[in-house]
Formats: sequence, structure tokens, C-alpha cells
Amino acid sequence: MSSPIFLDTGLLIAHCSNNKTEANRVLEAEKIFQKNPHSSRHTVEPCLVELFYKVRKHTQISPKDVKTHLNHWAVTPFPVDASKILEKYLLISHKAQFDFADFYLCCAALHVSRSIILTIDRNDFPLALSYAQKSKLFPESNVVQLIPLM
Amino acid sequence: MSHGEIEKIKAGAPDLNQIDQKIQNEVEAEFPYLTPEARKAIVESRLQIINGPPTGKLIKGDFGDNASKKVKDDLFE
Repeated sequence: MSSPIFLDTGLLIAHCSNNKTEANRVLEAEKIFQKNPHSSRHTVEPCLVELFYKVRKHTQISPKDVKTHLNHWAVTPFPVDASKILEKYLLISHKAQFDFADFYLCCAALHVSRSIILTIDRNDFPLALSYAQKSKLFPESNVVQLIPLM
Repeated sequence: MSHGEIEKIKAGAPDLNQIDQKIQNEVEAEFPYLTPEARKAIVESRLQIINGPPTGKLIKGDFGDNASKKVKDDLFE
């Protein structure tokens, strides 16, 4: 059984970056891909918004170039019902120290019975995932493996 | 390369339509509980993995140091 892999914005930015530290993160992610050769790879719309904003602000990379980067890793947007996720986020965000994109990605990953999240963010994601699991939007048996990269 | 050799290679090459259908069947069997749109996203990704990365050049940019760890800084400054 293959576990779809969900990618956080940071990794997508790393893939578009010419920085050496970021290149090491890209290599780390690609090692995970090699270990899971049949796993599809995804991101979610809020992460794409963050990615395109960052690209537009800091570089001359065109949206088409960004699409080439996404194709290079075979990343496709994973469609989910945003309204349900927003409803849950509004109930918890007053006390939670994580943002909507993190929560959204965790919820998308929890749609699948077994999935993997790759992120560079070591602080917010465990909390976001914990809240997503407690949201009662998904079967309790659904499992997400969180892999924080250095 | 002779016509015969080309035909031989073509005969041995995998049929892309068959691969497409095989992956669709696998995804439907593996993820029956997902929406058709979500299953389509999985199929598209798997097909891209099988087809390999695009041949176009990857244009990279300078986002500054550790930009991948500081995604939110720009958004909330």
C-alpha cells in the first residue's frame, strides 16, 4: 500500500531556490521519495498561495517556472472541502499557535488512511496535526507520519 | 535503424493508455473512500512519477538564507 506524501510550502520554496542549504533539504526529500517510489505527492492550495507570494516577492521566476518545479517532483494539488476545514480552524485558532496553511495540509493528509507529511517546520506541525486529528472530520484510524527535515 | 527494428521496439514499448488505466484502477481500489477529484490528483501524480521529470530547465532563484524555514515572515511583516 502506498502512502501519499504531502509537502509543506518550505520544501517547495527549497526546490525553487539556488541556495546550498536548501539544496540539501531537497536531497533529503528526494531520499524519502526514493524510499516510497509508488507514493503520489501533493500539496494544498494555501501552500501554493504562500509559494507564489514568496516567488513573486523575491525572484524573477515566472509562475510557469514554478509549475515546472512542481512537475519535476510530480506534485499535484490535493482537493479537499475547504469550508469544513475553515469551520474547525475558526473554533480552535483562538488558542492555537499554528496557521491555517499548516492545519489545512494536516487535514488534507488525514483524508487518506495512511499518509506522510514532509515539512521543514519542526515547531508548528505537531500541534496542527494534533488539532486536525481531534477535529472529528476524519476516521480516528487514519494515520499521518510527520517527517520534519533539517 | 531499419523499419523492422523500429517496429520491434514499438511492440515492446509499454502502452501508455494501458498504464494510465492500470494506475486508475489501482487508485480506485486503494482509495475507494476518496472523492473522484482527490483520486484524480493521485493518478496524475503517479503518472508524472512514471513518466519522469520534465526535460525543461529548472529556473532557480535567490530567496535569501534559510527562506524555506521563514515562509511566514514575509506574509506577516
